[in-house]
Amino acid sequence: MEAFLNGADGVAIISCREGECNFGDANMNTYKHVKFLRKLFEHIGISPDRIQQYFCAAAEVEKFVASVEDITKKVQALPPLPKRKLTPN
Amino acid sequence: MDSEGSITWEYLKNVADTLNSYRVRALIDAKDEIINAGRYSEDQYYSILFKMFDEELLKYSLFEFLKTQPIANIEILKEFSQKNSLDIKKVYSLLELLRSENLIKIEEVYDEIEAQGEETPSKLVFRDFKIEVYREDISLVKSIYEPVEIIFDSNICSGCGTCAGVCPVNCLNIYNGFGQIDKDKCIRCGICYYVCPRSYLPVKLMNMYQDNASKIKEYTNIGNFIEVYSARTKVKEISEVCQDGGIASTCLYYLFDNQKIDFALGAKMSNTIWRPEPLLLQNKKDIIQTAGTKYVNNPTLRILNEFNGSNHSVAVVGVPCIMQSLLKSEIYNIGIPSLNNVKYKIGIFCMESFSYQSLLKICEVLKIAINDIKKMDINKGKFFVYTNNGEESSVPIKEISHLAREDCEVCFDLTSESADISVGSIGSPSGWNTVIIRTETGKKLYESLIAKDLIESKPIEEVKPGLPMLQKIAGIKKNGCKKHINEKKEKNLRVPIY
Repeated sequence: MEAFLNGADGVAIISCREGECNFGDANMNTYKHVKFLRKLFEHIGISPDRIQQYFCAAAEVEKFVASVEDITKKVQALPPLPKRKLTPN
Repeated sequence: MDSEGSITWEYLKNVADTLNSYRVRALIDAKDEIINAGRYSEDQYYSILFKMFDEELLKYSLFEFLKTQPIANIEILKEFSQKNSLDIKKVYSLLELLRSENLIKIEEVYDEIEAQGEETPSKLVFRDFKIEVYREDISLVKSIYEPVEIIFDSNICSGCGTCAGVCPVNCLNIYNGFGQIDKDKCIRCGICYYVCPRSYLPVKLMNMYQDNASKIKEYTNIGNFIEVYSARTKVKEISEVCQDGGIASTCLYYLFDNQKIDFALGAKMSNTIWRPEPLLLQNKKDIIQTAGTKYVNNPTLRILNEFNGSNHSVAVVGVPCIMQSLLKSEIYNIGIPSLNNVKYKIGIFCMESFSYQSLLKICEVLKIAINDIKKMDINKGKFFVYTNNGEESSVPIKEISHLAREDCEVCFDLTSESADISVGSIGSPSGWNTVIIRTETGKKLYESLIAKDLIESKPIEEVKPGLPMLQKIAGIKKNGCKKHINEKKEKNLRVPIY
């Protein structure tokens, strides 16, 4: 959510494939949270396409590029989210 | 919120803060535990979670809104309610929640109306709130919700069983009037604390909800009500087994007979005689098992989870603490399916209850074996026991009141002020019930009982000792409660936040 508050219109989380995480099952834990957030976004009226998790190994360059392109395309189709109004000083 | 267009940055900020709320967090993280416990289905889990989320979001929005105002008073609350198209009562309930979490301080400002002659003495009239916001940044406040364990440990648990009935991982139990918690299973979601009538109870707000068509606007010792009657049942099966007038049983009889309810909750005698246990009544034959007063505490709402399915209609018969807890969860609705199924609240009068052990002690005092007792009754300041051989013995209440549950000392409510309809014996002659009708639901129910010719009814004014007696005894309970709460406060012990 911090990213959205700081002006992001979409968030892509790119993690290792299932079972390949360096930190146990952190990638799958994150997946649970992302799944919840997508449900929550739908509930409060924000498009769930704004947050997405992709799984790809460190060597899968094409997949990484495809993931980034995918989310960019999805988010570009949506209107920008409101930004924080900066107060002078 | 329908489209992304109406979303503001402030709204997103509130969403982020709400996601950090411990209460929401605990539910998100414990999804697997909750589903595996088998109480709630995945759909029900999400509906509880999102309902909880919405409530927390509203609460934080109100907090942020109050923070931006130079003076926070009742006008500001009205403005907030219009802006979000919320009922003003709802806003007030959020306010009470913030107060009980120590995020804000509310001061009430009163106007004094001067005395005009002897008949109208001076009185205070409510004018405004003065709300003070304690902390600036809500994201720095990590509100952690204690499990109801702290209520058990401080001897103020009413033993109503609500916590055990709603716990999503089934880690609570109430046995013998005392709560038990399985700490390894507990996910610290705080739902139990949220529904508990002894954690915090917004009494003024509850009176507001109950104050619908009430003729008597002044605060009385028996709460808000529409009408009071004295009545007794005409149903033969019930009149043979009932305590006094049998009205509570007759209500269930009517509701089952006319397919108004699918289930009812009540208390029946367990295999150990005079130790009651909760019973889910499925049809009118079950009523006979529940008739008659049991003076031992019974955690009726412990079995709430037995009708978690959707679209049931349920009636609950219970003592004041059970009714308080039901009304509280109506006000702070977090979408627990079983609580949403409760359609009728039938309250009974309760002065205090005993634990099973102290009932055994009373039997010792009376020199009677507990298995010989046929009926018990509290009447005219004495505790009566009738045995199977037809003998009668009694002991003055004063001599045994020290045996009553300590936890019941902090209760102020004699007449189930939060119920739809309250039934008891005080104020009516022997064999009759005093019936207090409090809400439209209760009124309709009572009118149907008369229309179906199930009861005999007369206005309370026509019977002795009548309302003055009830008011007096309710006053005794209220004063006793005040005294005990002050005693506990002096000793720095935890008391319920009323």
